[in-house]
Amino acid sequence: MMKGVCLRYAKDEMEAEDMLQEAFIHAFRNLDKYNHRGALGGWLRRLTVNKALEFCRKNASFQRAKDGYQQVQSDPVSESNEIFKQIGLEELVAKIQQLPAGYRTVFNLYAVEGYKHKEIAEKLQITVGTSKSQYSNARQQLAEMIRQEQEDELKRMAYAKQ
Amino acid sequence: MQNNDDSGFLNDRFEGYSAAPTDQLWDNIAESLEAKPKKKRGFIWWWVGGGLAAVVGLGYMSANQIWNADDKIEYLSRQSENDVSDQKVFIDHSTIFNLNDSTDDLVNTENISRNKDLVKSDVSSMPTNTNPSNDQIIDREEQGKNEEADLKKDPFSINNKMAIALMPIQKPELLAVSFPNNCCVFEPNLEKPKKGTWEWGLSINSWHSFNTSASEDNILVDTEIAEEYTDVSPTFSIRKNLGLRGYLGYHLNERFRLYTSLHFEGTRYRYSGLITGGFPSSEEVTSFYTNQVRQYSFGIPIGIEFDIIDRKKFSFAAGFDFLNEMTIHERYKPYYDGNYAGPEVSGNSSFFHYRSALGAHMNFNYHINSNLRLNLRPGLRSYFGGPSMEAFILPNRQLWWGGSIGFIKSF
Repeated sequence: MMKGVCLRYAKDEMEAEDMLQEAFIHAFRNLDKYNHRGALGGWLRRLTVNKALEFCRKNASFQRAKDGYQQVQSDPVSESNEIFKQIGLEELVAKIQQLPAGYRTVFNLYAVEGYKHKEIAEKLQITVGTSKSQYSNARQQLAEMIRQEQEDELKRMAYAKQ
Repeated sequence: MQNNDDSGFLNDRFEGYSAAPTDQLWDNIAESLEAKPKKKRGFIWWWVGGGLAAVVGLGYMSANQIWNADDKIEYLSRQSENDVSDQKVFIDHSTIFNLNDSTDDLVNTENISRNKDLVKSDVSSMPTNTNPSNDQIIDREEQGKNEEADLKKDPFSINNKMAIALMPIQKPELLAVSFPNNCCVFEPNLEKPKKGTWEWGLSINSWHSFNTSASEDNILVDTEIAEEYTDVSPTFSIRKNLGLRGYLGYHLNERFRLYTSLHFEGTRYRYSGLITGGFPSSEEVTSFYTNQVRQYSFGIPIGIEFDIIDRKKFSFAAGFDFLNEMTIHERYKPYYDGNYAGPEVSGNSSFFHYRSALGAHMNFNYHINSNLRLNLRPGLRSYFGGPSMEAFILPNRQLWWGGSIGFIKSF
């Protein structure tokens, strides 16, 4: 589970392992602070997300929106959401890893962790507009990648039928 | 914590997603856990150590000289009323009381520097029986005439008899202890700065807070830390600053001087507390956090100082000032334990916030030479006024202690 979180925030498995190592070390050193009130899995998950974000803060460059939030007018939200559910988790993670670090982090925080843009802005020390812009661009790029793969798959299937 | 739109829409899909860590990872973790974390050493302790060393050194030097003060006596010449010379006369104690006809060899004429006019006035006003035991100087009128003539030729070729004759009429207004190599902390300062003298200096300063507290409006302390979290009784553990200080002083007279300075300071606060709540899930946990705030500011005090003790090698002054301080940048970052999964209220912002304070200080100086002195300046600083806490993340500043150490040069 912890490595699954790291894989989403990292650009590849090696970086994910680095994050995971930090998270484990932090967990072992602070195990006495776990108060047993919540599930251990939840505690470890939150801890891992925080460690992954530390990595992202160090490495990600967030291109700030100059004029505030500029919504990328592309696919409607519902359509985008559908497309993300049409592929397997492994494939989706692989595509998320291909996103630029800033896009990847904001997308994970918003789409998977469920944070609001205001909270993401506070976490990553960016503006709300930047967070929205990063998320919108990330989603557009992901959808584009998925669509492209689907088209390629259709072409391959059509070619196979011939 | 779901948004109205699509935030968290992939949460369910990734709920069970995982992958197995590699064996190498466990080895790395084991190595890291066995390694002890490096202990950070603050630069502040170098400053404190340097200050203590300076104080101890000065104290030792002073005590050493006081203990040896019986060895010699120094008669200091003072300026005559027309203030034409402030040259000093150093004569060995034993020499003065063993004068005879061969005193020419005993008195080092190089140590006697007399102004021509001073000598003339001293000769004319010389009492007739100031040294009745010395027959060679009884006939002062004739001697005076001859010596006055000599002085016209060369005012610095004063003969030793004349010097001896003059000794009783010297006004030993300041009787001070004298030490080898002219190294005397308590020797009177005959080169006091005159009105209109400027001086400048550079120093490093450090201040620590006695009782910094957080305002209830502080955004890191109240419930604004997150909608779902409540901050419980934060405790301040570290609040201190370190900075550079440029100094400019102007002497109103020998004792008083006005001064101002420009200092840049970085203030560090660390405080910790407990937060309870749950985010993004509804499960409530209690987390421990430590929050570190760094604030950068510059200040321009305007003050006045008064020299209480002013000796050749050492001086002590007291003063007070009014400090204008402008905070220009603030950076804050929390460190939470693993229980916490809420938003981390961290940031980096630049702004201008004015604060004012009243300061009082002592001023210890070791005079390296007549123009340069080592300056140790401990004091207190009490802030009042300042920005609204609602717009300001830093806790209230209240009473601080600290000071500076550096060099001051006259010009």
